[in-house]
Amino acid sequence: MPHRIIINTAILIFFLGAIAFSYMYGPYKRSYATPHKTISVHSAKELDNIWRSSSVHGRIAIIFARHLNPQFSINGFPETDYIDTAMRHGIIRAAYYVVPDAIWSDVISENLLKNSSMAPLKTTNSGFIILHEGGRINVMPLSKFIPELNENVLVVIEEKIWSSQERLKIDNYFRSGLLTSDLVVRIE
Amino acid sequence: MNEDMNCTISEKNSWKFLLLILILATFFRLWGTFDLNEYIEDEAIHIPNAISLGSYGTTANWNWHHPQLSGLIIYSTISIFGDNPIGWRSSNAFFGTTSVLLLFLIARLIYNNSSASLIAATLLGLDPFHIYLSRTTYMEIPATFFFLLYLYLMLEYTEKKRNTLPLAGIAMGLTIAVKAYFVFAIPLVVAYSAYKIQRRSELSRTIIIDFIFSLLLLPVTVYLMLYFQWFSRGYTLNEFFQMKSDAIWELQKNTLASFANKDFVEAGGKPWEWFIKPMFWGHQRLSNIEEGRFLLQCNNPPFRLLALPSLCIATLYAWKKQLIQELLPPLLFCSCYLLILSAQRPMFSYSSTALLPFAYLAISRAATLYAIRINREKLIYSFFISAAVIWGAYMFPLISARLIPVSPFRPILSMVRYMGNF
Repeated sequence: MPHRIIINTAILIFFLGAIAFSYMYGPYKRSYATPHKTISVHSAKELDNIWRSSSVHGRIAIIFARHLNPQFSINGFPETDYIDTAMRHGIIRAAYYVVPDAIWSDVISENLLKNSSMAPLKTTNSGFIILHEGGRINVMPLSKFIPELNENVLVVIEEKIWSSQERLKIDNYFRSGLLTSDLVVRIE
Repeated sequence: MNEDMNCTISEKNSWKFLLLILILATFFRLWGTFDLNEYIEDEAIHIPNAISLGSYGTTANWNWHHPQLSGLIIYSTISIFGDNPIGWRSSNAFFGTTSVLLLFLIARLIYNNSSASLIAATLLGLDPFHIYLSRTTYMEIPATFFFLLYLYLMLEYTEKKRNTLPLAGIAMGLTIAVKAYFVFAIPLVVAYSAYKIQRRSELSRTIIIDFIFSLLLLPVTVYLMLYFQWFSRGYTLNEFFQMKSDAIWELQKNTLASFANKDFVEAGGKPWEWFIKPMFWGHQRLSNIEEGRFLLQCNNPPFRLLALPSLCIATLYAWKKQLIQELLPPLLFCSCYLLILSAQRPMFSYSSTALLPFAYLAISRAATLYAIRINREKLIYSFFISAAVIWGAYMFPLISARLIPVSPFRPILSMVRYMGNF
């Protein structure tokens, strides 16, 4: 067999292997909480501890909460930048931050204020994206949130901020199977 | 290849001279490099970034837009030598020095002229700016090294018919896995190679298939595999394309206000100034009014100002004599420079590192052409080489944070555009 055929065959195998690797390695490295659980906590620090002790890795987080940034949530949740920490340590690879519609304009102005010097916000049809170096943080009001995820996600719900109608909508995501989670953390 | 010109430096002597230049280049890139046990300038970004990348697969300090190879290289040397100056800086010292050797080999293949090769290697080897960056962690040094390696292997394949195409493909993948400076230059070299082979009437289907496998599939594979740390965070290929698209989007949104150290961005000059105006800027730590340490950057004024006229001379000569391989350095210079000039964002002056090898190839060519024309080869070559050595030796204390008396360097220090403290 000529030398070049051997080399080209090796390159082709290497190439196909790299494509297969890039599809399979990431999902293989994700780790999930077993058994599935729902936990109540009072702070972002506790939430961070739960994620770490559950050994979850490489995940998508869906966060139903009021404040993304500690600097705007005076005496409330979150008191630390737990998303930043989780992204930097590989716990989550992307986040959906879903806020009540009633406060959507406040969320936009808070994030424009915080991120304008660091990274511009990328606007989308449903809201905007913060391009964190640990992954995308998609921020949107509840009315624009459509859970189209074909994997188990980490869920965080700040209980007190939702109206009964909004609460029902979130619960329906779980009941209908649109949202499946191995670890739901409720902030009380 | 054009015929060997009337060189004053023989083949045997050129290797001896090269060895001398390499010793000097190594000395300037290593002496005292590991003494400063603190971060120099962007090392405060690069080193935590490399450690975070190696530990968690995530970049740090908002350095996610660029490919990851540079961070992985620094992380690997930190893993070997420890989290200390040797671990931080040894890879750049190696790549910077080896680039000098590669430039010499490339010049030999392009010009078939020992004098031009030696002058080009000397100019790069003793360029204070290249030495400065080789003593830190800037990714421009490995990016340029891998491109020079790619260019050399492609020239060996094209001109000498050596079987270096797959190795060139690997070097191409490594180049784009560091930074995007050579995105136009890379296909230009492929086009040059195809053109030369076609001129010899050897361009067959087999060669085209080899090109596709070695210069397309192989670099893509190398590039993808170097994201293994990133993929280990749970991502898939679709998310990889999304991340790349986000990176391009965000880089285009960068303005001067995006940079915390915008005074320093401006101090290095705008890209169009890099080869026109003499510029000095940097940091100092004065012990007293007479003594201090300096980390000065400059655009190597005595030589870089010759680059644009030399590029014109080298291009005209190559065009007139129909020496297609001699058009390569000016074309590569233009392809990289146009990318920088057309970028819709502020550029740091260290981006000029990618242009230096082609600028110095052109200067060395113009110098040899002039020397032959006036029949003063020995004089011109001695002048260039000794001027580069003297200038490099004079500037070295100013770029290496050694404790020095200020008075001998006042002429340079009086021209500094920006001087911060470190």
